[in-house]
Amino acid sequence: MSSADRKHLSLTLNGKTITLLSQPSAPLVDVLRDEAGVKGPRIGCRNGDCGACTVLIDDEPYKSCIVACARADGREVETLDGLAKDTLSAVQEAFWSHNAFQCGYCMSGHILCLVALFRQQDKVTRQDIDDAIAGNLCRCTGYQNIVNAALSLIDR
Amino acid sequence: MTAWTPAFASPVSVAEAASLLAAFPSATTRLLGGGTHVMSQLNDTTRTVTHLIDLSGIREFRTIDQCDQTVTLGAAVTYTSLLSVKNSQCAPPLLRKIAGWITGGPQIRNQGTIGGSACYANPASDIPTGLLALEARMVCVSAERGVRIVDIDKFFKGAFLTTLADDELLTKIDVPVDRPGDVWGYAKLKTAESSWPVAVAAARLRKAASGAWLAHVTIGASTVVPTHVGTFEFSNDNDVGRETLAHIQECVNSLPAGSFWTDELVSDSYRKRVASSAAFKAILDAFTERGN
Repeated sequence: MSSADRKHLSLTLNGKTITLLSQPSAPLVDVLRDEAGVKGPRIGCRNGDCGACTVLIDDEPYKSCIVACARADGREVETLDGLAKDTLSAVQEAFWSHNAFQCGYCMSGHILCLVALFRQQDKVTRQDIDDAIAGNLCRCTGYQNIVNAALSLIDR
Repeated sequence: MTAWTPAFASPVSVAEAASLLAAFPSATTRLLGGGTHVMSQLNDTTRTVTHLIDLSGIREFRTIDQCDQTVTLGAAVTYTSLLSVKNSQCAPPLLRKIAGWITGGPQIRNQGTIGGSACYANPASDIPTGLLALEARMVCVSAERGVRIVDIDKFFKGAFLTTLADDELLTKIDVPVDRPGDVWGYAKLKTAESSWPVAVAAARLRKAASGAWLAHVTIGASTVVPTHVGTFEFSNDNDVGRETLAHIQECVNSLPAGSFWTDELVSDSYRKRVASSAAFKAILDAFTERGN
C-alpha cells in the first residue's frame, strides 16, 4: 500500500463519461461537487444520517458522503443535476406542484430516492413511499407535502 | 473534505487482504466494508486513519450460499442483497426481517453490510442480536494463523469490541438453517425514525414435543453485548400476557451489573426498563408470524 496518491476515476455522470484524478478514499460527494462541478448532492451531516448527499449509483440510492469515490469507478452516477432534460422530470414536477420543499436543502435526496422507487416498481404504495424516503431528514416540511407529491405519481 | 486522506488498497482476494492487514499498523488501519461506519470516521479528527483496505473487490465477500444445514454469508453481503435473494431458504428469515428495518432507508440498506455491523459491534445496533439469536459462527482469517471459527457467543467482547485480533478479518458468517416450523419475531424501540435502536429483541418460536410453544429470547441494543434472556413456554398465543412480561422482567433484572448500555440517546437504567418490553413485543411478533 503506497501513500495517499490520487488515482484516475472514470465514471458516467448524468449520462456523460468523465475521468477525474482523485484521492480514492475521498467521499464521493466531495469529488462530485468540487472536482466534477455538480452541486445537486448537498453536504449535510457527513455521517450517513441526513440523506442530503444522496445520488443514484447504477440506479440505486446511496449517501455519497459515506461512499469512497473509488467505488464509483466504472459505474453510472446520477445526481439531481441530470434529472431534468427539456422539462422537469415527473418527480420534480410533482414536488413543484405540491410545494414539497421549503429551504430545499434535503430536496435532492428525497427526489432521487423517489426516482429510484418509481423506476424500480410498477406498483407503488404509501408504505413504499414512506420506506423510500426513510433515510432522508427534512426539518421544514414535516414530510406531508413530500408524501403528497409522491402519492400524486401513483397510477399516473 | 475529510480529516484524513489515508493510503488506499483494493485487494482482490482474502489472502491479499489478510497480508495487507498484517503489514500495516492495526491501530490506524481500517477495513472498508460497506463504509457506513468507516467513512464517517475519516471525518473524526480524534482518530488517526493512515491506511484504508477496500474489501469491495473480493468477490467471495459478496456471496450467499447454502450447503446442507448452513447458510454462508460473505462478510460484505449488504442488507439489500439479503432482501433480494429469491430462494428464501438462502436468506435467514430473521436477518431478512432485521434487514428490512435497518435505520437509514434504502441508501443504508444498499451500502451497509451484515459483517460490517458485526465487526463494528456498536451496542445500539440490530445485527449483533440477530446473529446471537441465530447461533451464527464467524469465520475469521489472519495471514499468520489462517482460519479461525468463532461461535457468536464468544465474538462480542464489549462495546465496539470483538474477539478479532489486530491482524484478523471476518470473511464469512455461517448461519444454521432454521428447523422446520421455527418462526421468528423481532422488535425494536428507537427514539426517532433516524435513531439508532435503544432496545431490540429477537424471539424464536419453536414447538416442543409436549405441544407447548417455546420462545427463546435474545435482547440487544439495550445491553453492551447481545444477551440471551431465557426461554419462555406457552400453550398458545393467549398465554402471552402480564405474567409473561413480569417473567421477562425478572430475567432482565437478574443480568449482572454493567450489562446495560448508556449513550447520548438514553441511559442504561432506561434501557434496562424497556428491554423487557422489546422482548415481550418480539414474542408477540413471533406468534403473529406463526398465524401468517
